Amino acid sequence: MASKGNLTLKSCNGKEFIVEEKVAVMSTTIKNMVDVDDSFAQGVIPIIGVDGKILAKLIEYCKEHAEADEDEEVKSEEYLKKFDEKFVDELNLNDLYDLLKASNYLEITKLLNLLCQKVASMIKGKKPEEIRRIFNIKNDFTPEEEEEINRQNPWAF
Amino acid sequence: MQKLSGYRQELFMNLPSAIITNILSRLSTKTITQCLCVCKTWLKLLSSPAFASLRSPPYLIMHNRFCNFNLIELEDEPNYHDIYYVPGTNTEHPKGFPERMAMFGSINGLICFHQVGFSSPVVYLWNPCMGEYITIESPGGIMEFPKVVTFGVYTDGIFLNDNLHWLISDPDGLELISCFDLDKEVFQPFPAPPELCQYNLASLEVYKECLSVCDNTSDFDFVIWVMKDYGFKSSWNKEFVINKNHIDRIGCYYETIHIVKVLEDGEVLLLWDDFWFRTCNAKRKTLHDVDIYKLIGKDENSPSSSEVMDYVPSLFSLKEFGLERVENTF
Repeated sequence: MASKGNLTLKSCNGKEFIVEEKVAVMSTTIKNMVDVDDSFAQGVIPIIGVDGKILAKLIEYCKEHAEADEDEEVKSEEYLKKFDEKFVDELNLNDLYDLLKASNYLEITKLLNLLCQKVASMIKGKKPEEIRRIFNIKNDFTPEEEEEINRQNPWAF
Repeated sequence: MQKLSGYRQELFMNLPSAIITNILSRLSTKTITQCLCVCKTWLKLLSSPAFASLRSPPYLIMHNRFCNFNLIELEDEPNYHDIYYVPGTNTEHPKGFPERMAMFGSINGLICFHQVGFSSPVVYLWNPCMGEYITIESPGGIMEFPKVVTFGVYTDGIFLNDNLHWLISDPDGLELISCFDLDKEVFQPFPAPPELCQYNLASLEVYKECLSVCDNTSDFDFVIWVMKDYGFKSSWNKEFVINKNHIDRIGCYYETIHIVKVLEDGEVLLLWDDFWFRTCNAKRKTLHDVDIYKLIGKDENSPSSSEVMDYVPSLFSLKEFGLERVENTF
């Protein structure tokens, strides 16, 4: 049982995390649950579809950002920027996908945007075949179709 | 990267479509053109009107004296910028337009023009994406432009805080900026930067929603003044002081400079003498040439007097104005 001001989050594989409320409510989904139903604040909040490893990552991110929101002097904008960079750089592709889905479901907008930006930066400047290789996407065009798309220019006036 | 890709099959495609859209909408036009032929799902998503409406990358429209229009895209991020011509957007003067037109504003994807050198009361509104234009005649032949901030050869007033501003020359040498209150319809005195003198190579600009003066009069430096608190003389501040020594392009030393765009990374895109594009960096105190003409890569686009302004393409049809004659330019 979490003490006052703390919430208990439970991953889909049964791992429990006790976190400060200000950290947990970085997630709009959790915030709405706590606001609507007081029993969540007392008991355990199940985080459906998110395993312990990913939940730990989410909490790590939210903790830094909640603390920065509270005290700008201790955790400056510069510090957060560095933290964010390191955070996304250390992720492998699977974790990136899982975190994207989790932050989307839990509505942690800041993190969702950070992760989307990270994936966008992986696509940026790449040729179609490189993009397919990185993200394991199957090319379902015939060579003729591909040529046709290349021929058309969507930005011509 | 390759090592990571092998794990699970087609994971990226299993992401909710809202996430995929969020990711792809962050890309520049340059990259999106590449993304079109990744797979059918992406092609469908990227070609949808809903996707187009999500994106509003910062564009500039450039109009040169050879009557060519080009769309310039800015990749404008906190630690990075890139400025390039969007392929396929080079377009000529619309059919039916008189020669020698000047842009004087753009809103909702429409570009406003008037004819240069004639006191013609006609205003042209053109939507290049729709290939439509209309002409609007001012009643009684009086030319009344809705004033907007423009960059280029035409020194329209600078509109800020509901007032219009001009650099002026006062015989007594006392007043350097004139301000017209659009609400009260009166001119009123306005404080100028402290070191600004008469007959100089200065232009009035907007810098991050502040009134600004680009001054290139000095032999050594060019200065961007910014009025941090609107109307307070003491708030004029030298935001940029850049040494001109290493500028080697002849004809760019003593010329008027206009601010085209203040970029997210702190650099400022400038138009020198209506010809040359440069970015200036306050921290490093450097100037960097941006060869937009080379990017366009056409002979007829060798440097020529150009007008540039912000532009947001739209599919707004001029037919919605209910006017009878909407001309087609395609």
